[in-house]
Amino acid sequence: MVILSEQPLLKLNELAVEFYPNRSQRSFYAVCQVNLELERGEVIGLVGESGCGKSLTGRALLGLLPPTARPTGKLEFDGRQYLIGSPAQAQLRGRRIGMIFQEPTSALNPVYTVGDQLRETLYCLRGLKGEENRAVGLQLLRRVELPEPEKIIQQYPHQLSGGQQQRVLIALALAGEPELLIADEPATALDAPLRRKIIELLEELAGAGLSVLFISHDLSLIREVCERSLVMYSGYSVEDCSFDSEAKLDHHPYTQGLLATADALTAAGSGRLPVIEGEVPSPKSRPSGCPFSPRCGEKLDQCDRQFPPAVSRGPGFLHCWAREAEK
Amino acid sequence: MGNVILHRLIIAVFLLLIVTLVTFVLIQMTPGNYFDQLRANPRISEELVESLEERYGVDDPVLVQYGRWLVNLASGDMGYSFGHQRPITGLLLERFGNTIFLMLASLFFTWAFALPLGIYAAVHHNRILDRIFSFFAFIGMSIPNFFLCFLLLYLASHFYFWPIGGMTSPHYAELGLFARLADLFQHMAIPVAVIATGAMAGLQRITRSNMLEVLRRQYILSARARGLPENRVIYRHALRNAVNPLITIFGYQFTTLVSGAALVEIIAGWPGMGQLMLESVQSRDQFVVVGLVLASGVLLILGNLVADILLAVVDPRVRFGARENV
Amino acid sequence: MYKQKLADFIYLLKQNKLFAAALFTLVLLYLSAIFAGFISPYRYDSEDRTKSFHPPTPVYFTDGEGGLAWPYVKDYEFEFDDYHRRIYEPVEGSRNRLQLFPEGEKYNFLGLLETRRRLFGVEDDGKIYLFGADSRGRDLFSRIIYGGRVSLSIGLIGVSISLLLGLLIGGISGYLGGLVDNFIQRLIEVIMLVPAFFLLLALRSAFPLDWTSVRVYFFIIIIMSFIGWASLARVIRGMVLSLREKQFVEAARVSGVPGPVILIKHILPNTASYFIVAATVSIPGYILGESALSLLGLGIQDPHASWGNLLQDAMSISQLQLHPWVLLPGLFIFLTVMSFNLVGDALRDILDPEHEVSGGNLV
Repeated sequence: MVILSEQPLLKLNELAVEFYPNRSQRSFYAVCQVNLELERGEVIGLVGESGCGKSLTGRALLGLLPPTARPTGKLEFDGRQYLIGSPAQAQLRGRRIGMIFQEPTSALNPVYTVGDQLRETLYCLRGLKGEENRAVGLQLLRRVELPEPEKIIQQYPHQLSGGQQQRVLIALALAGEPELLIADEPATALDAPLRRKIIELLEELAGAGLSVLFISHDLSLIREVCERSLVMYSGYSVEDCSFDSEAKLDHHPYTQGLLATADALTAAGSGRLPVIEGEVPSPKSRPSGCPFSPRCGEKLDQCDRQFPPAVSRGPGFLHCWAREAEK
Repeated sequence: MGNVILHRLIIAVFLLLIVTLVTFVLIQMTPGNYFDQLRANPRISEELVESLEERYGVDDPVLVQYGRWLVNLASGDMGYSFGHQRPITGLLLERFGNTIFLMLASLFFTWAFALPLGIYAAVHHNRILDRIFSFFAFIGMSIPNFFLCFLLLYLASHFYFWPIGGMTSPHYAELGLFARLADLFQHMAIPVAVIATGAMAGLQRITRSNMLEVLRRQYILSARARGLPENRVIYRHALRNAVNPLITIFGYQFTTLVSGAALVEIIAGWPGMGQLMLESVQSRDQFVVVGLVLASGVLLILGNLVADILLAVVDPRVRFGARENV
Repeated sequence: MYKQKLADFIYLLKQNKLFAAALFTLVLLYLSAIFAGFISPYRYDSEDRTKSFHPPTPVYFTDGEGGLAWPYVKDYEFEFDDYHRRIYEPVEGSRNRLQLFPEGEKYNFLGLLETRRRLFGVEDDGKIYLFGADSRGRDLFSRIIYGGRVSLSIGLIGVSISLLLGLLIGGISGYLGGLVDNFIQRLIEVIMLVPAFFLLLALRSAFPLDWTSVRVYFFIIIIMSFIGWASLARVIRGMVLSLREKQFVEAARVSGVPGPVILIKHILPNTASYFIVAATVSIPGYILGESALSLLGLGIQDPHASWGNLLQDAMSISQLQLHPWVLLPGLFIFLTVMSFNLVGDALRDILDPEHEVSGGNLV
């Protein structure tokens, strides 16, 4: 369900994150150029192999980067501009943008009960006290489909299963009634059946009007859940597209590689997996030009000279010299 | 949890038995005992020494003596101090009390200063004050207790601003209540400062590194992402988790502190267990030596027990017996 | 891998000036202990009772009228004060010029040859007391240099024995498991049950107090190693337990390599990084242990010198007040301990960043 309004909910322009590890090491860019737009109620995927800068992009949206990082770029949320890392942006956390993480087990403070953490969050974000606080808390736990919420709030995180922990985290992320939820590999650490259920829960929440930025390395999952996706490679957003099975677009060579792997995985027992040769380069030794060029089967002369400009295509965009040449 | 503690106590008692037995045997093997010193004293007759020897059964086999000692111990009698001419139990309790008093005061200052300084340093990682604290912590960690004690004693005596040596001044008995307290605190100041300095330096370093590590944990990121105010994230979420492992340190620190305090006691003239130990070793007052080995062992066990209980109180994972790294 | 570590080490020396300074201090201290006879102007037991508690003699470089002079020290005279204490005053105008490589008292150079050449001294019958003198008029500087032999070597030897014991016993305990492990664990607990200081004194009390310094020297090493191996063995055991499950060990076992060979060739070398760091940060504990025993009169006996027994003069507050230079040996202990701690910290950074190694000081 996409509510069309004049402005997108979130607009990220030319995000770059530079790291200054210490005096004896040279600085490097972990994220080089990411552009992202997200409409209200939209579910968007952010996909790429690990080490591409997906999580950092997610954290940059909340201004939660490590102290050695210096982000640049323009962030617009609900029509207002924010400086990344500013106190004003910090005010968005929880209240307008929520976030959940890959490892539910380590994302809950082990020394406080679920009830403690829920009560605290509701108090800090919405100023709720006493009975009202408790009622809202229980309601949140019910909303994430946790059975026996009265029992759960008395328990410590280590007494819950991984799936329950992730649900609690979703409840905590929703406590401030945010408009956008960033889900960073929310189900990767869980067993397959639980994974399914967490995804279904997120889809349900999205159906109720929540915008979701879904970060995952798993394209088949993204393809299934999201209407539109941003493909990231080595710090760059290389393609913004939708994976509707009808429209077979000319994707970025990297996206095609990911798609081939995902298709092979879906069609079980197909023998050898087609994988993209090579590895994601380390941010400290990124090749010049298009960072994918050393692994790319359609490499042209100019590929290792300059990063290709964006070509808009339908609602999305694409950065690729080869595709541009085809036109 | 109660079971674990009980189990540990039983093992501790068993180990204490072994330790005292070994000490007993070792001391018995040594040529010469307290009575040889009496014999060497021309004013004491040979008959008196022999009657004393018979009374304390020093010629019996070691195991018999040990058995007798154990039986007496059960009724609270730890034997007789030849050097001090009084029963050991009372003597030991008195010195035990003095040592505990000194240790508690030192521990109080150690924790009262080291914790805030460590936390501050971690939160303001790599800033100027963090570096200054780290520098002083390093000096404090490296300066030998006895050297620092000598230095402070020298300063105190040189500028004569402080009564030093012993636990109280000679005219203590004539003082009023408040003057007595003041006198006691003045005598305590140097040994406490010395013992606390080393411990504080170590604890500050550990607090800082623990806190730094906790601040990198996922649940801190998650608490921030949830929109909790920074103060709450640091002082409620990070602090609790950084302090828990420190409680284990408390047990360990207690061990080194008892040793360190003993030497400081001797140098500063504080009438505690350390000083008694040295006297008894020098005068071969064997039952006192055994008694002190026992008492210092008990002190350590008590320290570790307190740490165990505290840990169970603050950490739900320990309380519920979850087998996970704390 | 070791080439890489060496490169790291050299980089560290360049980057971390404190580390370089600490290493330099240690090398200097150990060299001065080895060449004690040459560096010290007098023998450690060379007395001059007329110079009891002689104050430090500053070295003058000017002739008193603003001109430069060959460095010299002044003569001192004393008078007794009302309490029969000696009050020393320099004699104005007296000048004992320093000499390079003079002939002094005989000593044995590295056990190779008898010689009289010393690094420095003063002319004629003058005396140089860089750090003052003790009650018998012995030069404190010379005694500190000689004392370094005892204090610095005890640390190295003690740590080596402890480490060897800890490595072997901990290794066996972790590798064999079962009853042996159980027994060793209880033994470790017995040793760790009593505070080190009390254990040290109790063990010391079981042996005659009037032993010669040489016997006491070896005895101290033995009892400190006896106490020190326990905590090391415990850590090694833990490491061996986890290494035992590793694949390369499994592979060796399957291919029929005998147990002891696996332990020595495959498991223990993997604990090497931890060991180097643990050794460095443990040395201060041994130095402090020896100092404490000697300080209390239970260790090295006069006339032999160790940094601990040199400090005995400071035990009396009135001496300390009148002759503060008796504290100088403590400064040497402090410097040594701090240098070892600095080196240990830096080594941990490059070798073994995961384990928090603690020296577990005896006192």
